[in-house]
Amino acid sequence: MNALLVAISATTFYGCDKDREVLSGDYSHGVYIVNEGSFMATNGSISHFDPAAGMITNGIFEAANLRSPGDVIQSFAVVSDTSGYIIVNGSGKVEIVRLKDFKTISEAVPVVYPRYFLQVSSDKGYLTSGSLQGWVYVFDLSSSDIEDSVMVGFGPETMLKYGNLVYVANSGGWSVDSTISVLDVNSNQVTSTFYVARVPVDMVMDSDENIWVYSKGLATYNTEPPYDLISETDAILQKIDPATGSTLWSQSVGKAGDYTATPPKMAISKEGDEIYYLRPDGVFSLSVQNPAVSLDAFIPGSYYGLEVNPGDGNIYLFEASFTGNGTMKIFNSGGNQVQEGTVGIAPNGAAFNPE
Amino acid sequence: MLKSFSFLFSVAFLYAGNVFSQADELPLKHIPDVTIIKSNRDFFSDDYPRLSIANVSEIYPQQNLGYLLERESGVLVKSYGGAGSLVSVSIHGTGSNHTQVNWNGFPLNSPTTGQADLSLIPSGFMQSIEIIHGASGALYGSGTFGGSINMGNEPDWNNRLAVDYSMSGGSFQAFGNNLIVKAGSRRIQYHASVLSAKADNDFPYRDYYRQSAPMTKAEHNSFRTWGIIQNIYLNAGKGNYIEAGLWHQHKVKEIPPLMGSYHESNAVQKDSLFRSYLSYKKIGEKSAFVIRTAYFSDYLNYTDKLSRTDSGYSINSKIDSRRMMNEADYRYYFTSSLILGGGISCNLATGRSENYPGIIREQDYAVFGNLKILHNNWIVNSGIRKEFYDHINPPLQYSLGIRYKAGNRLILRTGISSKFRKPTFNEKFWIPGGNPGLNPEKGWGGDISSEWVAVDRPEKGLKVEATVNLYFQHVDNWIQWVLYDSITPVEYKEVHASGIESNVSFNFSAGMIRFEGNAGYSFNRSVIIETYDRNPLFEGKQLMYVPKHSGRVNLKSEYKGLILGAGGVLTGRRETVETEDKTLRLPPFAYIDLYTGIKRKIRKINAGLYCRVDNLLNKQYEIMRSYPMAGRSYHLTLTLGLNNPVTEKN
Repeated sequence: MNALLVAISATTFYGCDKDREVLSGDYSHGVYIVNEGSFMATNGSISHFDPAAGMITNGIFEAANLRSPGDVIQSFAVVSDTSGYIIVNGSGKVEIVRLKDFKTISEAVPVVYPRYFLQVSSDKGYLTSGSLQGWVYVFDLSSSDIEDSVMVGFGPETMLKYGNLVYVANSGGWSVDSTISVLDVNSNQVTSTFYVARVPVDMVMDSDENIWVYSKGLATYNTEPPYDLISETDAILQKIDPATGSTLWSQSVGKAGDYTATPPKMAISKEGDEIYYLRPDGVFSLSVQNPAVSLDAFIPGSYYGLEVNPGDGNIYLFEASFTGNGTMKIFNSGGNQVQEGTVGIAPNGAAFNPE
Repeated sequence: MLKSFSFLFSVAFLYAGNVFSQADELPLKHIPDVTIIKSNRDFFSDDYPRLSIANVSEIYPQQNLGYLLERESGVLVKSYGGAGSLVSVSIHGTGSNHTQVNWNGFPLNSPTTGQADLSLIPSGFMQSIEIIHGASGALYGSGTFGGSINMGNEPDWNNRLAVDYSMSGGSFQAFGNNLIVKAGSRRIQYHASVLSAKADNDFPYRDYYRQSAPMTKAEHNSFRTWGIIQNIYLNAGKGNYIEAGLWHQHKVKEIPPLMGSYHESNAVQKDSLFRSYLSYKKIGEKSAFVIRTAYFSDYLNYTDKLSRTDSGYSINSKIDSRRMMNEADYRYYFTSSLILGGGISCNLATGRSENYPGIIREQDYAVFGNLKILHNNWIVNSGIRKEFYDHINPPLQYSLGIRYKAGNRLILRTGISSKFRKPTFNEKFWIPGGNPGLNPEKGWGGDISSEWVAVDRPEKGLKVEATVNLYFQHVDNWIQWVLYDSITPVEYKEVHASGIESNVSFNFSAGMIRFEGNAGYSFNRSVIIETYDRNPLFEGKQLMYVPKHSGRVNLKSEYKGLILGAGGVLTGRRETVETEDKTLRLPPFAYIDLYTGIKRKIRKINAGLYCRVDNLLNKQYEIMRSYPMAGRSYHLTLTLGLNNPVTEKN
């Protein structure tokens, strides 16, 4: 803990001679924290965390490229162990960096309303996009060009790869959707679509190779004053058979109105036997084998992001402020906090590239 | 009788308290027998440092109040981009909704946001602009932690007919017209001003938020505005005055994409406002009475499209607010050195938006009293005010101030007062997140200031004056939108703002050449003392967008109607988040403006031709992060004026 604090203090003062000093670090491996930034302020950033050294380095893109990565960073993806795709939703672009020094390796790729990126083969990656009609853009990883596009549902969010299939959660975006689109990686075609609960947002795969889908539910308001809440469906956790799309288990974990500020994020333990999901009152856990929804938070608190480090199984939680720096808290699988540090503005998640 | 009137007018005028005012030195015979009758809030506030802004509308025609204040005052003006963009103002290192902007005594601050958008206020519509640093809550009511900016329309009773027209054009397809007509007699005056302005705002800038920082042209950034203001003043005799005003303003502004953005912007904001007031003033032998009423309507429509070719909107947000404000105040002169005042106000505000739970309707009432004591070179002002709102109970407001004239060249002022700000409609009712249970922000502040005439040699036309103001402002319960279970406004933090504001001005003549100028420097330390969730990352940090250091310089010379002037503004580095993240700081910026012009009288027409270069050195800067400001721009203005004063036989 002390080592971490010292490291944070040290990195806090980087660039004290000049506010924009070029940093030379090696960011090939570690944890890449996505600091979303505040809307319309172009202050998103990426922080790097070295778990072994307990060292956080904030603003690595800005330091390497002497400019901000952009407005509202939605996500970050590690590609081929050597490059990173920064998905900048507000600025409508994808920035591609070399992991080692975090310098950009090409001009940013303009995309309307980009959300998440997933490498699906050695030479191909998928990007979800669209606030209404959704698309999956197919990236040629060697040229960083978009070579194809596939129409999916409305408001596609996260993706999950299983074999040669990629599952896309269609959240509805600014409209409504309740489907998962299944794409064949070889043909870049939608092979099937199946229904889940309203507004599916996040997915993980467990050790039994079943897909868990976290849907936040749909809130409907009167279109006339005083705009009362007419109805809201439940936020649902579902266990899905990836082969058939059939529901193996389903349970309500809240109401749609609970998620006005808390994103319905989930993660799975290193062993794939425990689900962690985010609610406004904290992180809840659920056994894959014997799922039972708990009323008590596994880790109480108000968090904006949730990840599990696949390397050591630690749980990463992010506290956000939209007017100042946020906090990363790391817990072990027993739910005990082991580390804490300051990151950028509104951290919403992280990507991992262990050594 | 006439002597009594002269005395009353002289008191009202002498203690109006303008910085560098020479009213103190004026003999009674020079006091005009018809002057402006001060409301109680003006009359009882001469312990506060204030700055009168010269309205140089011939040089800055058709420009908004933000543009003028940025160059001519030390207040912090925050502009979200080029001409026509939202402009807010703050004083004493406080927030944008902590400065009350008043028009003829009525606050323009929106009940929905608490801010006043200065881009909607053409500076040429106002005859007087005055900044009251740290204005008291006991005199002004809600939202004066920083101070107040008081604008007024004033009659020229000596005028019979005056017509002024200005036309300007400039870089980035900027065009504007302004016609002012003033007609009347010493009994009745009618003033009207019509203004239109537009600009494409397609200025080039280097986009530092993109790779290789390419030169980019601002897109989807145009604006157009037009407005009309009319005032009528009636001197009904025997100390009775009636005045009324109507003001309509309309603005359409395209909202450009942020720097670094790769997608097109289709957002447009339309503002439409209507403002009106009616006041009656009565001057008695030993008393002054003012009763006034106003009706304001503000309408904002923000639209956006996913694609420029879409026929429908993805966002179509409308916010409509209306206010009826009524106030009466009275003051009585027990003796020439003891004046007691008091009054009441009653206001109704309504708000309507798709994001409100129905039509919002709020009433508030206030009672207030003031005491002024004059003794030799001392003036003591005190005030007390109680406001009554639905569901919230603001604390009792108080103020105490002293003004001391130490000889003919030095005036010292000090004051202390409490402040508060009631929560806005958006903070209480916005869906999602609005928090109807919010308590008012509260705090207190004080100033110590001095005004010194360092050199005064009228025979040589030489004068040098200096002011220094030290201030402290405490704000508690500062309301802020934060992320808890939802994004919601809460009473979040305690802030201490302190600093120093200084100003030096001079004028002198060298033969036929007249020089004048001023320079100001401000140091603001606005620190978050505590957040109520005990966030150590915030505590002890400077408020965002409040520069610690700022300054300005203005110089002007005139020779036989030939004018040459320059001005410069310097703003220190600013935090853009409240945790002082070094990587997100905005660097200091400075710019220089240059102007020249010639004034000539051709028969009965006063003609002027002016050329102005803004941002002469073409410095790129941002006031708000990722909102580019325009580089060098050129402006040409033609003014024509006809002025026919009242003659004695009138």
